[in-house]
Amino acid sequence: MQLLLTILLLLPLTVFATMNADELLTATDQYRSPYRYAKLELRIDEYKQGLITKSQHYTVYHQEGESLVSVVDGANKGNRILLSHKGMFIATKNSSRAIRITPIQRLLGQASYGDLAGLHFSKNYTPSILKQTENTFILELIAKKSSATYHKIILSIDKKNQQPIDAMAYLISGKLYKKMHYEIADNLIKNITYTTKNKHKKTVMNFLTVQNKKIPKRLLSSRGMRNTIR
Amino acid sequence: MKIIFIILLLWSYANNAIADIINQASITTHSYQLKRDGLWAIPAVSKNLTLAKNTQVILALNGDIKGFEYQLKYATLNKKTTLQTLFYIIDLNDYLSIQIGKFIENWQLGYAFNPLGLTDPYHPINNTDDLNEKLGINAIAVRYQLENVYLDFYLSNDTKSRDNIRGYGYKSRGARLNYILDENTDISLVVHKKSDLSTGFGAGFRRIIGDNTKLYGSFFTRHGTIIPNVSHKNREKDGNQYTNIMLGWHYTSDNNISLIAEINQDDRGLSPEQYKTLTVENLNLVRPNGIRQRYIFWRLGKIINDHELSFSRRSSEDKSALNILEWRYNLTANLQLNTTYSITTGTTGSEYKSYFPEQQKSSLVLHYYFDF
Repeated sequence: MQLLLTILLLLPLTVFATMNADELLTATDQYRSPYRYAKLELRIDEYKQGLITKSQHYTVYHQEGESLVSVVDGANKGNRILLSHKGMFIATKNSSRAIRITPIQRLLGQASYGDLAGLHFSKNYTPSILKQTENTFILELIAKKSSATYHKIILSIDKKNQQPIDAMAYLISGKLYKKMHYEIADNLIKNITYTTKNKHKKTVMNFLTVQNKKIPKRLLSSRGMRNTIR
Repeated sequence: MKIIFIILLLWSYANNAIADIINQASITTHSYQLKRDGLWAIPAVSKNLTLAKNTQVILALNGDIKGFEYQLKYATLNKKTTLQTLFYIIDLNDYLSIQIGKFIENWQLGYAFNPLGLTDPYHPINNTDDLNEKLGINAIAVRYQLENVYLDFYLSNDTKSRDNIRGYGYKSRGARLNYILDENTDISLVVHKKSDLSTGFGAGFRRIIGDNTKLYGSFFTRHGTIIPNVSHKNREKDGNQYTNIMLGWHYTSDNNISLIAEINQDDRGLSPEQYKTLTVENLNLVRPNGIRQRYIFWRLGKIINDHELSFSRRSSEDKSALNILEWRYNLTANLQLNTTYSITTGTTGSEYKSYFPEQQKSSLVLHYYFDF
């Protein structure tokens, strides 16, 4: 009986033990969006000394590893950011054209353009299992291309359900750049809290809605990214 | 027209259902004061120029109605409502689309100098169109895209009054091939024909280097030019090859300091010998981008929270320059302040001291953006 109980207790672990790093990462990505073509409404809150100093709304369209971000309110309303396989571009509302963004420009800001535009880790990072604890897997994610926002991410996920718990993002120099903490509700990410070495500041990315939405491919290009999304 | 425009703006703000057809609405107040010296102060010349001091209000709307994308504005300066763009995009499939109507087609790659700005005549001096001055042109564009290739065919008929200097009022057709070499590099190849001018060719590139740097450049070359020279000689079929070339570099530091540098050689401008013969009768040759052949531009900018400070300088080959100091400040989430001070420097007779109509200019712009 004891042997049977032991086998039954260990059985779930053997199921997870058979999931490789790629499968774990893909399962974790489902908490960001269950859709292949997704439209997300986000709100970024910037905190200083525990109080919200600034809030901004965004609409983000993700499909096939590419993302189009639209600033929805405030002075930057109308700005668009595109993360595609061909690089990252920004089109500000009054400028003549979309311009390419350097890697450092992707990182600027508490919640950077790269944080907004990046959705599924599995599209841009190659995972490996670094170690496992009693309740977590620790994955090491290495950028597949230089267009990824961070060079390396150390991601902790829950062993039972592959929910993301927290992450640490590193630059190519090896410098720890940001920490992220995930809050999950109803099997989707509710918010991500970003912190840096400045302990008085943090940024919270709130996921308000997510829906299935496909947009024309021409919008996911530097020349089409400013057109109306319908 | 303007009454309908104002009603639409107010109604939209009060009624969220209508907000679907308006993506953005703004009110801009623009005050400026400028000083003119030298040839520009001659009454016979200055009477034809813009006012030396003025304040205007610009109401602007853009959005889409059942897929028709539009942008329009009303300016109190000329009490005129202008439909800047109105176009529709037909998606034939995932790879092929047609855009038809009045729109701005932008093939530029540079900040201050744009040899490939063939389809878009107006280039704001600081690359941002704060006063909604850019105007669409009646055109059709057929766009085809594959994984790493974008191909555009463009046909236009600009019905504005012909303006040789600013490039308005022409029929043109062209094609542009944009090829993405990798995630850091793309190249453009362009062919373009303008009215009765011969077909010209050009190319450009953009490359990200390391974490902080962008390198870019472009050129365009054609037999003949619509821009007359000092003797008012028509150069459209003079048999000469005119090439416009630009090289640029943009560096962004880890703490968000931005440095842009560009160099430009435009054969259509006046050579040093031609420049010496320039007189007050030739002031109509003065172009927004300059009248000579060789220029250097650089811009230093820094963003600190809600403030952006920048200083830019456009230098002519005679060492005269246009210097612009600018401060942008987001006062609130919806209210933005932009102040600019510009001043020309150089010796008597130099280009920016003698042939630039605004020797000193102070400008204050306030934008308020409505939320829908």
